[in-house]
Amino acid sequence: MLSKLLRSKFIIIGIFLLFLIIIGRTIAISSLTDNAIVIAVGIDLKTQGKYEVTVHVVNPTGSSPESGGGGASAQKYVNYTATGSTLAGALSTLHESIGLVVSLSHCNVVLISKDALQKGINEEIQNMVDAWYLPLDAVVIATENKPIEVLSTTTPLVKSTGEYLRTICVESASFSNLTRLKIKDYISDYYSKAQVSTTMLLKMKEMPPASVGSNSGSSSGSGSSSTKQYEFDLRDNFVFGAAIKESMVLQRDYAQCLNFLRNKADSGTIDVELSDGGIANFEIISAKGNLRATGPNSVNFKTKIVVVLRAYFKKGEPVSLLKLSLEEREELRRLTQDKICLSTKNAFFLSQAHDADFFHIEDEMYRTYGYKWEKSSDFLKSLDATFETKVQLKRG
Amino acid sequence: MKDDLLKKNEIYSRQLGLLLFCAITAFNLTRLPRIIVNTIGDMVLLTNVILALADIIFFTVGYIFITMYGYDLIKKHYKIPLIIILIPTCGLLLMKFSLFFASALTYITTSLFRSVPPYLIIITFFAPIFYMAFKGIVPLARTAGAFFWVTLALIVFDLVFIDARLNFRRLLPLLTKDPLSYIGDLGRFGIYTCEILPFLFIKVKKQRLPYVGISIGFTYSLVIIIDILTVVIFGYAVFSIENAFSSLSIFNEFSATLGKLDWVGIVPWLIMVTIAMSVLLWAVFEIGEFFFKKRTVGIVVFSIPLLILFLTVRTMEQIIDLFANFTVGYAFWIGSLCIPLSMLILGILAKKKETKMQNDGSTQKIPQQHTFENNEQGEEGAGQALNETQSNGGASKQSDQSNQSEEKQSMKYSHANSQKKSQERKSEQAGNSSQSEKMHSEDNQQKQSNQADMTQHNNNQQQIKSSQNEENMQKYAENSGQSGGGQNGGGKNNLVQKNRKSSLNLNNLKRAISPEALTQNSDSVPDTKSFILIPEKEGDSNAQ
Repeated sequence: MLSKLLRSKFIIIGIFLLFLIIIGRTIAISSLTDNAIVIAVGIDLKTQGKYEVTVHVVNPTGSSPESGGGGASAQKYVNYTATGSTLAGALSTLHESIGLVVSLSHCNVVLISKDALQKGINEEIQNMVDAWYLPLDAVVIATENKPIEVLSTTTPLVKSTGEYLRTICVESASFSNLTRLKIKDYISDYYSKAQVSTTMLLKMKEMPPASVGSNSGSSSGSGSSSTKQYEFDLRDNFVFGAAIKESMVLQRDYAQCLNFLRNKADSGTIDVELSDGGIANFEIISAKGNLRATGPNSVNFKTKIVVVLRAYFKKGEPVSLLKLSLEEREELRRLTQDKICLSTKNAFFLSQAHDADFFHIEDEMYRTYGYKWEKSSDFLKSLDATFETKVQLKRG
Repeated sequence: MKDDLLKKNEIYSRQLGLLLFCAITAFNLTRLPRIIVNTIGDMVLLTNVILALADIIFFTVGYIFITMYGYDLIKKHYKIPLIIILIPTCGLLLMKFSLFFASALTYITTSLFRSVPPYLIIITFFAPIFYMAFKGIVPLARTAGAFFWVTLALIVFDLVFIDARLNFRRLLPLLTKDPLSYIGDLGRFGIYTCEILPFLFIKVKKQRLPYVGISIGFTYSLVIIIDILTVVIFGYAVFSIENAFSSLSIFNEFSATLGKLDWVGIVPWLIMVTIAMSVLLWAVFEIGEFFFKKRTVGIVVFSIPLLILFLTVRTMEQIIDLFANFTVGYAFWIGSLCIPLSMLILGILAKKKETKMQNDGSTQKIPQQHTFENNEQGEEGAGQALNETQSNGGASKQSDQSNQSEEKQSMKYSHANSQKKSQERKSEQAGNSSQSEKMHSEDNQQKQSNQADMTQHNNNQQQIKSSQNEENMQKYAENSGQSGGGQNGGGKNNLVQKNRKSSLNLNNLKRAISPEALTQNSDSVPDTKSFILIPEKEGDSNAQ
């Protein structure tokens, strides 16, 4: 009987379809309009260890709480903020206050204040990945200002800071000289031997009114009515982690050298100040480096950069690049090489001084010598380092 | 068309290759990297290579077994040992199915359809798995074949356009702990090695190309490449990844243009998982069929409790915690080594036994030959008597009624004798065939054709007897005597006519027997493909 029933596949398919149709109608699957599509999220640490979470949400109707909808004052993005003891708690509060499902699936930017990063929010971030679908390729950006302030500002061209940061994070090819700490790297660094992470630090600077021009854009923040325009600097790095007592800021030259060693870069520029006061500007064609353990207590830093000379200023006056002799070009190349090598050295000394292993030398030792390698108490300070930097100058 | 020629549970080696592809990749590409990093640390490369090598060894043993049609042989000759082997096999398969089903369901419910009630996902997911398992391995193999190219295209699309920072140093060190403790930790991964178990119940029709070898090589290379990529890209963050393969889609270059491309990883994974679990469930059904004799009973006994388990368990994590541990892992290591090996040994013994029985069967045919010789002698005797009566009749050249009646009586006697002995032969053959029942399907077919031939032969004899055509009877008696010698003395090859002579001999027979008999018993018109070889004789042409 059963066999007969099962063999009649059309009956089974029919029953199954009927079942799905009937049951399917009873399932409340939220539509797109029921979701708050978040493109950037800001995390700040408040007093008593509470978190303030700001979400930068796409406004599909073009209406804002202030404007009441549509028209010339329509905004593409709206910010919402909530406070909670945990990030998940704050997001739940947001969900209730907005009345929409907070969807982090399209979030590419996680803007975190320096305080929150130094406190260590790895578990909270992992919870956001597991429970709130925060993508593993979203980029963590440290900020000196409050995330809500940053997300409420506008830039002259892009209008929404969230959109601007999203471009910086997604368009990796155009901004490869910036240090991108993705969520996956953030989690990975937390469990690494060094337990130190480095990411770009956002510095916000108000633009003078003259440079703003005739911009009349409105603010992108909920409740913010500021008309000020800002520009951002992301070239410095912020160093933080469980293994270091105090977080630190790595200046742009050092950050760039660190980026060459840990990542690859195929864009960006290098400015070299010459002893005679001149300045040479190079465009990076490719840059890569590696860090290798040469002994249980010694490492080698190796960097190889291909650059093109783009501008040369001598005593404040521009010099025609066509008139440069080979010797002069070679001299500029050598000076650039020395500068990068020196920056790398200084970054290493800074690492030793702060006992912050942002080069992940400990991990390299472990990878080379295996599980038998043991870290000494003054591992970083007793480390010998050699530096090899090679700059190749190409004709533009 | 070709598949019509296949036996039950018999698939082509190409299809086996495709099924292996699904079975191996389904879970080795998803949870394995995470579990390795959680359990051992960075040793993903070494662990993957060890698991691949171990599985290849198990596959080799299993493949030898299935190509010798070992399961059928064991079922025939070693039922008790087979029961002993099948009980743990069934347990391992059920555990593996439960764990994989729970893992897949956890991912589906938490990552894909969070707002959908779990019971609906369970039923929706279980239904196609159950149905494909119910339909058998051949439709499963065809399904795998149909979906293979789609799956491969999506995998290639996923891998070729990866745009991520690859740090191959993350694969180091190769050894993150001392070898002894590492070997101990390897036990956890036993459940990922036992891929051969469900395939022990199939039969494989070999093809020209080594599809199985190609498939295993390709699949394990793919598994190792993807697992390496996962570690190289995610580093220590691997343990927070639920599905490694679909996570790689995040880094697809096209995701910036086309949006999230998770489905590129999820679609092939879902296909592979459904097929892989169907194969597991099918193997359980096969064991059920062996134990309960009826396939339906086996299906009900195993599938309904499974469905109840999945529907009633509070969370799928409970099932995962129950089976994804070291004890079960060790059990799987032992099982994947011992079960195929013991089945192979039993298979070899069964084959030897089978060969011995075949030889015994041929030696038992010696008395048959004797019987036939006696029979032949008897028929010769009958012929002699017939000749004698004919010669006597010829000598007197007078129609003596008494002599004629004696001739008829003696002829009847001789035919009765030959008929009786042919029945004895038939019964002996039937006895032999019952002894070596289902020895080989070809042999069976030939024996059946022999029996059919013998029956046909006897029918013809009866027809001849009833026709009382003396000349035809006489010729047929001669012919049958020679053909009978051919049957038993020459062996089975001489029994079956497979060349164009058959049609000629059919004509001979038609000539030999009366047209009335043919028309009276039209059902007994022999098939030209399996007819008794009746050598052409000059006498036949004379008879014309």
